[in-house]
Amino acid sequence: MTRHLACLGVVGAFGTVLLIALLRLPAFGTALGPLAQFYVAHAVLDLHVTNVISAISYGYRGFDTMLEEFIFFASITSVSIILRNTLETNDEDEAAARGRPVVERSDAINLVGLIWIGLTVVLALSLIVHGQLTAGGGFQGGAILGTALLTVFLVTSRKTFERISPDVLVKVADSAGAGSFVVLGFIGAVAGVGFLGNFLPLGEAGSLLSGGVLWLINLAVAIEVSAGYALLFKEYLREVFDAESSDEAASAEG
Amino acid sequence: MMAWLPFAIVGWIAAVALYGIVASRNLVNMVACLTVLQSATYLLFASIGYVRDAAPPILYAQPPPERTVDPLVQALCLTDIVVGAGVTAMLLAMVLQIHRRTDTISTRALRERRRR
Amino acid sequence: MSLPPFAVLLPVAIAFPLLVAALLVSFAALMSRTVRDVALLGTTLVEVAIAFALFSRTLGGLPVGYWIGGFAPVMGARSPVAPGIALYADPPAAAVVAMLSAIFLAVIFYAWRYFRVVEEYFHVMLLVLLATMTALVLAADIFTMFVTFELMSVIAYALTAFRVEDDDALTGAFQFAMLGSIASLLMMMGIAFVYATVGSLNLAQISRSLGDTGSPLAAAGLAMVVCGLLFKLTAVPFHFWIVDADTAAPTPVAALSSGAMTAVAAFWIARLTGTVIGPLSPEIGATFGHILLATGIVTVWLGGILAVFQTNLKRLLAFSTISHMGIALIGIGIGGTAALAGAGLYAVTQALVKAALFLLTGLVVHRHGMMDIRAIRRDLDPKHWLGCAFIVGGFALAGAPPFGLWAGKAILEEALPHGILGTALFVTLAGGAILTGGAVIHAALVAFFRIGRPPSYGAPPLKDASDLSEFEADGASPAHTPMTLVAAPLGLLLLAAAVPFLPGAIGHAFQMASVMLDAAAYRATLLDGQVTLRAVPPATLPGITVSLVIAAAALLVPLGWTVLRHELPGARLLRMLQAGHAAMLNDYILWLLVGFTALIGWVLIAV
Repeated sequence: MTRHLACLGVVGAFGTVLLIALLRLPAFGTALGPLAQFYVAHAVLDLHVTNVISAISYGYRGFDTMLEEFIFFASITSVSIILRNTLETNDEDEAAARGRPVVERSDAINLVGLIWIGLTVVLALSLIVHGQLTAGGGFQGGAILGTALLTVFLVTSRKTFERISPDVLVKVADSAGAGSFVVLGFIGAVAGVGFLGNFLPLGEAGSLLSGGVLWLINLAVAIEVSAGYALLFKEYLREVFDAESSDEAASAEG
Repeated sequence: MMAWLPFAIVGWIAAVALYGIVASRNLVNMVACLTVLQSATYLLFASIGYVRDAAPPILYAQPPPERTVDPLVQALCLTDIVVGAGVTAMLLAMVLQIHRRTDTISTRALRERRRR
Repeated sequence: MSLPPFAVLLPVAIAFPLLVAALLVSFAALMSRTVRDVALLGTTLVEVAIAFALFSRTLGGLPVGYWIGGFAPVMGARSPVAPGIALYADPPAAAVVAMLSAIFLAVIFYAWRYFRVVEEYFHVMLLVLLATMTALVLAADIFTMFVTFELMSVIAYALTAFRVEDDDALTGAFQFAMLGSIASLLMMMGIAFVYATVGSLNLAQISRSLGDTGSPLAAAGLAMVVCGLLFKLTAVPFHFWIVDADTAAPTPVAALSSGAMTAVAAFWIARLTGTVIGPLSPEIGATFGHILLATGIVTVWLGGILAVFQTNLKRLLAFSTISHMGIALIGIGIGGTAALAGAGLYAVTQALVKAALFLLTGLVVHRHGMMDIRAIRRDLDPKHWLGCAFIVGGFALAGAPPFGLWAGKAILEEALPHGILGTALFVTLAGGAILTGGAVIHAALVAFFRIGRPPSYGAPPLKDASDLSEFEADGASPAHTPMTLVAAPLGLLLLAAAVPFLPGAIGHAFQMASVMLDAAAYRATLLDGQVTLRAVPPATLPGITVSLVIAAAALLVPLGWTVLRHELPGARLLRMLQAGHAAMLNDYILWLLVGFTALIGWVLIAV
C-alpha cells in the first residue's frame, strides 16, 4: 500500500511540474518560426524537393539521420548480441524440427495473405521511391517492407520466411545501407561540396529523379531499415523456435 | 481552452505512462508503458508544430499551399520514432533472455535473486 | 579539384569509424579475427592522429567550425537562420576528443588479448561508440547532441549485456536501458521546449535568439536537458544505473562507461552553461549554479561513503566515479574561469585514471575470475606489483601530486568562495578525495597484500565458486600476463601523471575554461565566421602542500577499518543505504523522477 502511495505521490508531483512547464508553451496553432519558414520556402528552390520533411531529414539535417541510421543498426546488432545462443546448436534442422509444431495454414489464408503481401510491397516501394515528392520516405517504406516480410511468415511457414531472407543477404544489406550513407557523405567531401553535400544533378522538382544525392540517401535508408527489420524478426523467431530445443538440451545436461 | 488542451493531454499521457512504469513489476508491462511515454513525446512534437488553417508541408500540388505546419518538428519526431523502435526492440530482447535464463520477469523476484 | 579545407577533418573523424564498422559487418564472412583486430586498431590510430591534428590547430586558440553539406547560415525572411548542422572544435572540445582517443586506444589495445573468443560485433560496437562520442563532443546542435547521446547509450546498453550467461549482467543492463530511456525521453521533451521558445536547434543560434530574455519556458526546457545530462553523469539521485551496470559489464566496457561517458556529459553541462544558461539571465544562471552545487555536494558524499563499504572491486570503482563526478559538478556550479578550469582538468584526468583502474581490475577478473576482495585475499597468492599499481591509482584519486587530479582539485580549491559555503565545499572536496582514494587503497591492501580487514557492513555473502562466465575468465595459466594487458593501464596512469607537466598545460586549462564561458565568441565563429585569437594566460603549477596532506589522509580509511572493531553509530543508516542500492528497478525509477521533479520545480519557482 505504501508503495502505491509513494508511486502516486511522486508521479503526481512530476506530472504537476511537467504540466506547469507545458502550459507555458506558445499557444496551440501559432505561426511558424523563421527557420521553419526558411525550410518551406527554400526546399524546392535549393534542393528541388517537394516533400519538405524529406528535405530536412536527408538534406539539411542529413547528419542527424545518418547517426539515427546507426542507432537502428546498433539496436538490431545488439538484439543479435543479446539473443545469441551460447549453447552450440550444431544442427539447425534438428533444432527446428524439435521446436514448435508446424501449424498448417488454410488455403483461404494463403490466398488473402499473398494478395495482401503483394499490395503491401507495392505500397512500400511506392513510398520509398516517391519519398522526396510526397509523404513517405526511406524509413516509412522500409518499415512497411519489413512488415510484408513478417506477413510472409504468418501466412506461409517459417521455412519459406527463412528461404526468402537468408542470413548473409540480410546482414550485408543492413550494413551496406548504413555504409552507403557514409560513403555518399565522403563522396561529397571529396567532390568539394562538403560532407553530405550534393554532387549530383538536382533534376526537376516534382519529377521522379529529383533531389540529387538526397534520393540516393533515401534509398540507402530504405534498404537499411527493411533489412534491419528482417533481421529483427529473424532473431525473435529464432528465439521462439530454437530456444526451446536449447532449453531441452540444457535440462538434459544439468 | 483549445490553446492549452493538447499540451495538457501530453502531460496526462506522460504521467499515466510513468505511473505504469513505476507501479508494474512485470518487465514486459514496463516496456509497454515506456512505449506510451514515447507516444507522449510524439504528441508534444506534433502539437508544437501545428499551425492553424495550414496544410501539410508537401509542396507537390500546384500551386503549393500558402501556410504549412512545421516540417522540422516532424523530422525530429521521425528520429524519435526510430530511436524508440530500436530501444524497444533491445529492451524486449533483454526481457526474452532474462526469462530464458531465470524463468521470471518480475522485478521483485530479480531483486531476491541478487540478494541470495 | 582543390584540397578539402582542414575543417573537413571534423566530419571525417566521425564518419570514418562508422564506415569501417559497416564494412566489418558487410565482409564479416571473409575476415579472420586478425583482420578485424587490425582494422580496429588501425582506425583508432587514425582517430588519434586526427585528434592530435585538431588539438594542435586549436591550441593557439583558433577554433574550427564546419557546416555539414555546405548549408551555412543564410538570411531568412527577416532574420538570419541556420538550416544546417554544425560541428565545432574549440580548445576544450579538442582536448576532450584527445582524451577520448587516448582512452579508446588503451581499451582497444587491452581488449586485444583480453577476450579469448570475440565475435565481430564487439569490434563494430566499439568503432561506432568511438565515432559517436567524437560526434557528441564536436556537435554544435542540441538535437545532434541528443542523437549522439542516444547512440552512445544504445551501444552502452548492448555492451553491458554482453555477458548474457550472467543473470546479473542482463538485469543490470535492463535497468540501465530502462532508466536511460526514461531520462532520454524527458530530455527530448526539454529540447522540444527550447525549440518551441526560439525555433532553432543550432546552439549558437539558440544562444543568439535566447540572449538575455530570461524565458521561463526555455529555463524549464534547459532544466530537463540538464537533468538528462546529470543522469549520464551519475549525479544523485540519477546514479543508480552505474552501480549495477559497471559490475555487470565486461571490464573494458566498464572502463569506457565510467571513464569516458561521464566526462563528456560533464563537458556538455559546462558547454550549455557557458553558451545558453549563463547568459539567459543572472537569476537563472545563479539558480542553475546552486542546483549544480547542491547536487554535487550530495553526490560527492554519497558516492564516497558507499565506496568505503564495497567488497566488489568494480562496484567500488563505480561509487568512486559517482563521487568524482560530484566534484566536477561543484566546479561547474561555482562558475567562473578558475573553477571551470579546475573542474575540467579534474574530469579529464579522472577519466584516464578510472579507466586505468578498471583495466587493472580486469587483470584479476580475466586471469582468475574474481571480483570480490575477500575471494582474492583468500584464494590468490599476494600480487605485490598489481597491488602497488592499485595503490598508486588510489593516491591519484585522492588528489596526490603529480597526477592531473591534484592540479584540478588544487585549482578548484583556490577558486572556492569565502565564508561558510567555501569551507563546506572545501570539506566536501577533501572528504570525497579521502573516501574514494582511501577505499581503493584499502581494497588493494586487503586483496593483494593481505593487510587489514575487509569491509563488513551490508556486504553480500561471499560465493564459493566464481560465477563469471568463460567469456571473461580466460582460465589460461596465470603465470604469464600478456604485455598488452599491463601496458594499457600503466600507459593511462602515466598520461594522467604527465598532463599537468606538459608545457603550458595549466595556462591552457584556464584558456579553455574562458573559451567555454564565452558565448559571444562561440556565436561569432560559428554564425559569422569571425575568429578571435585567445591568448593563453601564463599560469604556474598549483601548490602541493594541501593536496599532499589530504592524500596522506586517505590512509585513514584502511586504518579505520583495522582499528574500529565494534559497530559504528550510524550503522543502521549505512545498512539502509546499502540496501537502497540493491533495490528493485521501480525504486530507481522513482528516485529518477524525484530528481527530475525537484530540479525542474526549483527552476520554475526561481524564475
